[in-house]
Amino acid sequence: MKINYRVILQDGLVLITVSTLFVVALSTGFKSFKKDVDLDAIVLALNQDSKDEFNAIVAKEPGPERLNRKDEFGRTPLMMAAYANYKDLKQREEMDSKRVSWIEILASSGADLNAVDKDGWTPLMFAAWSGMNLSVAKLVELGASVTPADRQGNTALSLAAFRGQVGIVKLLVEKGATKDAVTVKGKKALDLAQDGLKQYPERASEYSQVVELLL
Amino acid sequence: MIKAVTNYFSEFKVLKTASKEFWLVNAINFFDCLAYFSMINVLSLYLTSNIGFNDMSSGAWVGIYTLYITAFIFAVGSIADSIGLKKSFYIGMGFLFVSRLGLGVGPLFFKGEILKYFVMSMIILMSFGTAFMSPIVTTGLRKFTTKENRSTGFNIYYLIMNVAAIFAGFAVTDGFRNWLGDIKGNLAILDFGFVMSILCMLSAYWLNESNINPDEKVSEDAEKRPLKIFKEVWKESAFQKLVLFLFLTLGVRLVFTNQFLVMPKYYTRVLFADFDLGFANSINPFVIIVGLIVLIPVFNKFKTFSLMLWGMAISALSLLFMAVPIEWILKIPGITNVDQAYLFAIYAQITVFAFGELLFSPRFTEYTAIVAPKDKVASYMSLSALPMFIAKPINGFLGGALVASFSYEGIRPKIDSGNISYGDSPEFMWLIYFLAALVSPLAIWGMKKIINAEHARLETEKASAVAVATEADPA
Repeated sequence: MKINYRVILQDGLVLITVSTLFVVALSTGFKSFKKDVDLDAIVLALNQDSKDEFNAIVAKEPGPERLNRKDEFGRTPLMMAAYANYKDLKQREEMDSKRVSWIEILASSGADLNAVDKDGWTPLMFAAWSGMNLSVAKLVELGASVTPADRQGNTALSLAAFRGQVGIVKLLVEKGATKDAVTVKGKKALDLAQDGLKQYPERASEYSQVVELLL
Repeated sequence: MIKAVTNYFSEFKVLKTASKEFWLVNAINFFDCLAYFSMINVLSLYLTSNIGFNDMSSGAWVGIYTLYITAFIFAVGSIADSIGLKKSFYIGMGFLFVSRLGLGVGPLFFKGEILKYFVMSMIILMSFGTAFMSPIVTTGLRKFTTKENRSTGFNIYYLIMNVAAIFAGFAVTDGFRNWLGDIKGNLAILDFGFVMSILCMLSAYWLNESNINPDEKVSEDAEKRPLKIFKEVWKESAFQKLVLFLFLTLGVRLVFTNQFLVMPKYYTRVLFADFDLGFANSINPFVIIVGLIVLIPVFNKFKTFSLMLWGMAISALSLLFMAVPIEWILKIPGITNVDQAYLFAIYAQITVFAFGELLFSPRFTEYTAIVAPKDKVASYMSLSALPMFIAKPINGFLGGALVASFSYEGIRPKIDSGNISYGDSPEFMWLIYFLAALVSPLAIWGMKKIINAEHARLETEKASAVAVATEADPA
């Protein structure tokens, strides 16, 4: 069969031009969604556990302003460092041990330990929900407050209680977190731990320990 | 049921006479599909977590990738007939070899903006390679089968594609992500694709191109260029009705593209970062394989148009599982927590949707074939890819924007703590998709007299059952 490269090239150019124009039109149209802000380079560096990349960013833009830059949900890089969502305990512990060094670096570089996002969450609340024991301990050691509550009335203690995080509940109680804080639904940390027990019966032993600590 | 399974597999006996080349082409198809499906499962996650794209840009670039595949397929078309199979395989695999390696190791060498531009160029290169592969494999099958075993050969092709999609999900995607974690796992999956491209090249090397079947002949219609076809048929009434029909299917087609555009981020954000997303994405091709074997003979007893409508309606309605407030699902006996509620919603949607797809996709191909004038079936068939051509990039941007608003990284703690109202929740995102998808069956049902005019006349000339590949099929 005789090959006609000219026709193939011609068709290719037409189709690619049409496709590209289509993409450009869509891109322009969707700009109005205003969600087109790239991931913070610091968050990307911590996702990839690249301290060199972080140092390069900080060297380029020194000072706490860069470190406390918020995303559209009001979250700082320190909050993202204190957040992880793994079901597997081993993966969570591995992430915790990596993130604790990041928390130290970010805090020593000027990150605000008590910054709040649009819902009123602090880095400590993210770490408490995530079940990252080492990160919670490090944040508290560095001076993060244990008392703030979000707009629903949740505190770091009540989040840890609901998630059945024995070590974190113990630490926060020792550090003076109040057991009597009440959410807008009228629930204390103890009530939330009991809710957790009902919802996750397979983790009864952990929740029972949390309940005991909160009694 | 046992009879249906026995009938399906007994048909494969005819392949005893198939040549070594036929099986090599199938091996290439298997290796390439393993690489493609495992890569597409994590591409949007890779672009965000490994490269730093925001949700909208990552969705857009997955959309652009799939759009360019379709465009390049139109452009290169039957190039394998012209330059030869081996050469075509080497070209396609060459692009995939470079691009998959580039995506897999790029983040180790580049950073920041340079990395982003590098990845964009690799994605375009990869779309060119992927576009090469799909028509070359089908051309290879055509050339290395005889009139007697061609239909069975193509059934094997679809079976292998779906089996590869299953393995790519639970074995490759979940295997690497569970072993190396999500960030390194994504890179390993792309590197795995690079290794698969080497295996494909080796398989292509052993092909003996002169061993083609002598009765193999391409119809002139099939050889025509797509733009030429379009110029020829756009004024025909049957084609205009088909275009109207295709346009009306767009809503439900958006849902068909969600599996790789929206689902991976949705799963890992409302559940856990280590959720077995590959397993979830394996359910669709599994249901399709079972359906192909057991249900297709039953479906053949019903009218094509009705089955298509039911298929679209079921596909759209499947979204309701994920669109209703999660508190409603928590009321179902046996579901005690949010994790279980989301898992129930996700698995129910995937299963019901796959059933709808099973009804819709083969009938859609059949419908296109029977509304086309007899001498232009191939032309109409080649243009029937139009809805996916449009739906993929639209949903790339739309999905990205919706994920950024309703299923962003870090949403799960906020769901647990009561900070997310229904209007801000992932469920609301699915409600938007549900309404968009519902437009298709309703509009087609409302306009059935216009659309169905040609079809009613031709229903008696019903084409034979058509196999169906999983909707993440590159083409």
